[in-house]
Amino acid sequence: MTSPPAGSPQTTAWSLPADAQPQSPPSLSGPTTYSEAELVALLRSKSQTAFSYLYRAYGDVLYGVVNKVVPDEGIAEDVLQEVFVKIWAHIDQYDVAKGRIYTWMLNIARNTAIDKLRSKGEIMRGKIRGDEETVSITRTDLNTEQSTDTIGVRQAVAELEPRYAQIVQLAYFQGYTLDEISKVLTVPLGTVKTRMRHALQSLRKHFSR
Amino acid sequence: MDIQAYIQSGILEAYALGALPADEAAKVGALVSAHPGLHAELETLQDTIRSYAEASAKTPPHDLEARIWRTIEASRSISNDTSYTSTSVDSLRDRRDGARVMPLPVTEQPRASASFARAAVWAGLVGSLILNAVLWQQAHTARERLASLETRRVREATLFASQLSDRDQRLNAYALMKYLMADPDVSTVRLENLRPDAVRASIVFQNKRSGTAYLAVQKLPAPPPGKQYQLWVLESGSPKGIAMLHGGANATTLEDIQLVPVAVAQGEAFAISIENVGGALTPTADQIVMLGKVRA
Repeated sequence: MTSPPAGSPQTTAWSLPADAQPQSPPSLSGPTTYSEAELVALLRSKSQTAFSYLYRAYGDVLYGVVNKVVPDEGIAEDVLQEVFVKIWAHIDQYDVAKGRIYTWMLNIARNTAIDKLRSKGEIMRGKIRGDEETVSITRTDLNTEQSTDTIGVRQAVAELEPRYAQIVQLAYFQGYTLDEISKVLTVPLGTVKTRMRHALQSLRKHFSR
Repeated sequence: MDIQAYIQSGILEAYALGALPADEAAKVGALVSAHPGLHAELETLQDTIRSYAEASAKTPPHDLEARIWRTIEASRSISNDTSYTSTSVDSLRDRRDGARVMPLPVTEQPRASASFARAAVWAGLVGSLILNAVLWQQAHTARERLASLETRRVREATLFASQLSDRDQRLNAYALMKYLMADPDVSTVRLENLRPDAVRASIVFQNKRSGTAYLAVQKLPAPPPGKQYQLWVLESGSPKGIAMLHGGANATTLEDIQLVPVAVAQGEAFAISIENVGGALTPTADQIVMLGKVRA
């Protein structure tokens, strides 16, 4: 084991370590979009190229999920860092038979963020965040790189019925279990599941247009 | 089983949204693996969630990419050996916050073993100077590891620690250290202070045969607010968190030594790092304050 760096964090300009070898990933179909298999191969190469691609292609989505769970941007950035470190460290254990790598990464992001939320004691039981937080996607800092497709999706999401948006918010972004949601909303467990189904069916319809 | 009814129930949606506790999620996962119809349905749901996540996409600050790459590079030699195979959104029900002792989710009961008969002898000798509770860092372990011997040992050590704190103490930690030092099976690992900013001293007394060890904290300054010391063992090149420490121990005399029992069968090195309360899954590279290599 190499000695961990002692003392203060690096203050020098960022540069590649001497032994870094940017590797060209095997047989890629295009410069900017890789298939799942290519992406996995790329990540397993552990090259800086791989990281850059991963960050640029998925950083926004992962950060978006993290930030919805952990509203504080400073903490969200820390979480995002943890997420990429985990993805990097565990890519060898990713099992393609268990599902898509995109989902795998999203789950790491979501779970890490929920962990952070819990460890910071920010989950407030009984307080349900307003529907407007999930329904209104108006942002003053719209990234100009984002395509009109994405904007279209956001509008679609804005049409989701409030009680469905709420269920998704509670479960996915706040980490409540079925049981907890049932208690918090004072509806039977079966109803919670049904609402979840309707929520996702509804979303599915929007996205398949 | 009625696949359609199962799909209609919304249980897959609950699974995909991460709203199921670990045991229920495991059952769903198993069913999904066994039924292609369920697998296909789940795939569609996960697709939908991906699209929904994309709707919330947000560009992180510009410099974050470089920062993250630096961290990845720095932690390149420290990799976590935690299994991470599942794509299910595992429930976090098993996680407890750092303020309580955390039993690990194993179903088997701890059984007396020769190593703990030995430990029981030690238990009878330990004084009441174990001032703080021992907390266990629970990593995200794959379900396969839950049944492992290693986990059982950790669980037994957790019970052992709680017995120690309950016991009426007769001898102090100094006396225990005398026994530890006299025990031919026990080897010592002196941890080196990596930072000159404060005095730090601790030793690990390790019994490789029994798989138990004691961290003797002689001197550690109080951690910064919101932070906690975490003890790690390096096994096969991967760091594994094995204990959280409460507070710092400022002792200048041997009698004040804090002894923290931990379960570790083997390892190449021990380290103490400063992490956020509750601990981390991998040590923060520039927050490792003590490190000691185990002699072969």
